[in-house]
Amino acid sequence: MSKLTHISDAWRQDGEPITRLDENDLPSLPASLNEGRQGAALPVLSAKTMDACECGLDGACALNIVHPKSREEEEALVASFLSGLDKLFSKENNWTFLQPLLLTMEHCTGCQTCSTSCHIYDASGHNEIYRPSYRTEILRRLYFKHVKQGGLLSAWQHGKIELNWPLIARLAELAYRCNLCRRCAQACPIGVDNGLVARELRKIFSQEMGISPKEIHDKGSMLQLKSGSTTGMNPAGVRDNMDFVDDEISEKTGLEVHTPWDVEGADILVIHNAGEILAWPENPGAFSVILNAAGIRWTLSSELSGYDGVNYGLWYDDAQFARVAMKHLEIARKLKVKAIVVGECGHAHKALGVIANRIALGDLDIPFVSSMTLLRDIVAGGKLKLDPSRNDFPITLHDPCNMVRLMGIVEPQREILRAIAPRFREMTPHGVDNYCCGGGSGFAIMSPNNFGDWRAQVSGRKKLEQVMNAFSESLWPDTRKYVCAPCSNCKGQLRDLFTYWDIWEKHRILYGGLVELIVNAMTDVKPGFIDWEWR
Amino acid sequence: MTAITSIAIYAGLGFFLAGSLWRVLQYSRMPVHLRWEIYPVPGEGAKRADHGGSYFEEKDWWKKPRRSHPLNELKAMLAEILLLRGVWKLNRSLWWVSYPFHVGLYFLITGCAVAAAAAVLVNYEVSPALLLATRAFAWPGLLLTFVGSVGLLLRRVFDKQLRNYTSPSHLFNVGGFALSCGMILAGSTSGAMPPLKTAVCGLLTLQWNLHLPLLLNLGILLGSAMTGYIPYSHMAHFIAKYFTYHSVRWDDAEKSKSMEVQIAECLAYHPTWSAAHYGGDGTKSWAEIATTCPVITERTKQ
Repeated sequence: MSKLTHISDAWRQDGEPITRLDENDLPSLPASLNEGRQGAALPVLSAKTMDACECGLDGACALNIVHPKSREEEEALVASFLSGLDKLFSKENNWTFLQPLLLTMEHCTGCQTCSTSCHIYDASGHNEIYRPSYRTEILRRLYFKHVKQGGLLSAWQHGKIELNWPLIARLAELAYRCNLCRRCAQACPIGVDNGLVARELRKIFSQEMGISPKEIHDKGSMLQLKSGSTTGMNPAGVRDNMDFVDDEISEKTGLEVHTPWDVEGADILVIHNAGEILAWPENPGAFSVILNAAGIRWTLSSELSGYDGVNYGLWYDDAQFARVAMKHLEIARKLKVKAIVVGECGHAHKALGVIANRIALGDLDIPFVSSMTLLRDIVAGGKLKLDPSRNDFPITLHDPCNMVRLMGIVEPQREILRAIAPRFREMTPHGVDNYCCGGGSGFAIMSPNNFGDWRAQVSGRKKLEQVMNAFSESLWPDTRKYVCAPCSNCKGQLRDLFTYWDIWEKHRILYGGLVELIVNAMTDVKPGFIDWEWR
Repeated sequence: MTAITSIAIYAGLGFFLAGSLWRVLQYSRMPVHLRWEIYPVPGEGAKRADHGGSYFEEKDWWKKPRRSHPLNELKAMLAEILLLRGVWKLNRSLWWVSYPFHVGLYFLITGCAVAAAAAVLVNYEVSPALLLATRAFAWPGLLLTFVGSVGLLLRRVFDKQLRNYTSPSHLFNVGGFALSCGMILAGSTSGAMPPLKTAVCGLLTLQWNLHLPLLLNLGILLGSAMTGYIPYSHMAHFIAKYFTYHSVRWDDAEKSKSMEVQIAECLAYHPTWSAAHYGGDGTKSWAEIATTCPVITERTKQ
């Protein structure tokens, strides 16, 4: 077992990682998965990366923060962090989350109940730095010493802290070792929210210091604001691609599939995660099939950003979040729709349904409807002819944290599965007690250096264990099995996780969305909508 | 000495009330924040809260009036306050020391309130019953708080997982309660202890000629100091908990008119975050920043 990492290790100046993951420390997985794997859990970072970047946390590197070149630059970075720290606790700069943050800073008793609930801490073999309270403890000590100007009394009351660049660099990486699933906050008897702390730390780095993962900022929210989508698809491109999807799905289903665009006065505006159109086109295609068959008056939008529901700002930056959310709301207002329906994307659900709710004033306050609820009403309303025997294979359901624990959309997807999937079984635990897939808060699209390995070995480990347990009676590869994950981000993580552990080859477990299962069960669709092929 | 003890009781109580009021005002005056709830939300009603569901599960939810379920909320609160249900479920080994400590405090608070009533109603028939009740609450209260605080102290010292997150003040806090209860218990059982009625009335009515055992005096002095200090430390979590649950974790409230006014005020703030993409130069309001992106605007101009 790794030796206990102390809080004081976080400001060590030797430049070495304060902990290293050893395969032997990690909880065991079924023997079939461990074949050929021994020793270090993560590939060692290249000498080039180590020389150029801050890698002093755990031997993984998510951010590629370049070493300061001079003492002056280092001091400027420390000053910038301190400035951001002050702003984080001022109402003018952080009214959005000030109250929950202050409550978390000032009232943790350090009981560590949160740790029992964290999938990352558990899957790391209880490595101290992944304890939900480790990064919070550092921020708390900084808050009392530097924001509240606690002086000597602060060290006595809240613990010692030394602010230096190594601490800040480690804190930046540490902010990206949490999936923001907030299972720890759900567990805390007092209501302290360590997940929020990870997010608020990310805000200091992004909003003040301009430090954030490239995949989330430059190639994410900035690209979306500029070109319309994090995929880079512009309005013309998305229409071309959806035309292609319509053709493909028409051929596959034997139905005439037509996706409506920019229909003013439609009942609902559907916003997909645009990544689906490129990576899993059968998902938006299946939506079109279902909504058309149900006779719903719906539309997609081809306006800039209106066809991509993702909102990466949710994970790291309030301004980026608000900019994308306001665009979505404005587009819905212009189309005069009655409600916005977000497709199978968990964080887009939470962004528009919950977080944007309070900044949507006046005629921007447009009702949000979950696609899970809409689909449940369609299925329960008998508008589709369904044959559950078409889905006669083992199916389990992954609960996306944003949709379930953080929005309370729990039962609709289950009601559907009970109606169309005779061999549906739950994971343990599930519903609002679920475990994150390990790709939450942007991780699913982040794989710099060895971070992809970290996701597969640590943050996704618990989900992998759950999936294997859910299919324990039929793990052999001659039975095809399906993990229903109604969230693009979760599907991205499952794809990487299953690839890393060779799950398709060894156990024939496929992942996919919910609408694919519904269309697969539709009797007026050609049989075999689900492709049992690994992608 | 006893006169000082009497004054300390009132001073401790005064500091406690003032500190608690300060805490309540501090948190209740915070600006409205964005929604950040976690399910289950008991206010959704037992039917939905049992599986952690929300109004989003309902067809055409926005066309129907939202119903609150305060009784269900109360049920969840009582289980948490009276039984420490969360700790029981997820941190059982800590519950065995944390629960006696908390229940002991509940008993002590009740015992003190009953003792005060006994002192006020000393000339009425109800007084003996109140003194009996004082004993009935104070003794188990002292014993449970003592046992709980010693248990918590030992956990803090010997459990290496807790030790990493333990500051000197944590030890002082639980140690202070243990010492105070221990001294009161020892003092109260000594031969020099006057009848309870005399002690309670004397202490609460500032009778300068009252003589109490030294250990009892010291225990009450320390207990009063701890009481006054609670709201100024993280131990004020009994106040914080109201806000973490009702204003954050369970807050899925619809926007009211007054909330919209508060939000409009917040949207007019002028943030000053320094990153280039943020554009917080102090001249733009939060609402303007939310609808423009300076980096993109600049590139478009070029």
